[in-house]
Amino acid sequence: MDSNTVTGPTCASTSTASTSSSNSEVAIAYCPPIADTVVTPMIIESKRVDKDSVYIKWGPYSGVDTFNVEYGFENGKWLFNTNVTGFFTTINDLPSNRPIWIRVAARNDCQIGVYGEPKFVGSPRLPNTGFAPQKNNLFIFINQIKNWFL
Amino acid sequence: MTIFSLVIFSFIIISFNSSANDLIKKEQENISFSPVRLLIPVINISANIQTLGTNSKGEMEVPTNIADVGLFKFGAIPGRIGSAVIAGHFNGKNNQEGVFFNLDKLKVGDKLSVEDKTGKSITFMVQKIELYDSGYADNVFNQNDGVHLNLVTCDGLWDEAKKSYSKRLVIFSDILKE
Repeated sequence: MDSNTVTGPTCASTSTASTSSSNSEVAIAYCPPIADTVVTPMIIESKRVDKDSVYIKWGPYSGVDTFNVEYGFENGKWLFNTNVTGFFTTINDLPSNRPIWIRVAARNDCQIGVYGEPKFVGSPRLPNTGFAPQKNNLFIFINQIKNWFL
Repeated sequence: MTIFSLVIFSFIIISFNSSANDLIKKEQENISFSPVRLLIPVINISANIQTLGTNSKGEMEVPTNIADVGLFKFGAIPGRIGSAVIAGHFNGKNNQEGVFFNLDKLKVGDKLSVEDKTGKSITFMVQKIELYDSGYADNVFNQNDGVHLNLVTCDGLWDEAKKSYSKRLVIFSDILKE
């Protein structure tokens, strides 16, 4: 994972120590790791919602429903992250019509699992590369006739 | 027999490492690649490459003239993993033929290449040709399972109300493994 990414465990510590004047009793708060049975999440659906939002959905369910979602404008540069409970989210307040890269990992209170394959999300509409055909242009007219039969 | 097996096994490991290293080396070379020209000899295209973003309608922008093509700058760079997308005009305002007027003449197996300013080129081969409705087409932009270069232009019928052709022609090509 990128060392600049701020996705450290939200659990402040995996163990706590306390002392008393009477004895040196140590209390350990157990923090379970992500289970081996948890499958690395895969983005299974994505779409642009509007000019500054994208929607993603992932799966499969394998025992956890809490996830960390990382995203950025280049693959590998994960500038932002958010925690999600559930299997879908909408990311808002993005630069207008700008696609992003997203990846998802299972998480618990102490640990973030392995991130799934990054996905390029929010791609633009296909470009409009044509102008109105002129009726007197034979080539354009023939092309249109050809398309009627396709 | 055991020695023979060991020799064969070693040969397989060395071959595997060698081809993996070649791929890594090729990918590293392509990281610094910055294409300036698109070449499609079979339809006589040799076009300057502009860089394009998105417009206020959420569409990929189009080149500023009908002779150039444009690379979507937020997508993959040709030669790197992902889908690089290049758009070109089908026609011009006065009905001149655009750079991609004859794009529909490409066939599966045809070759195209992109070239940087030093003359280094990366070659692709057409894999499939599809028509899409105008609008979103995520799989044109977001396939990460290989090194793709996709070409887009208009097709279909002119819709006067929408000021747009009804379809988009997409040529999907993959990097040619030498």
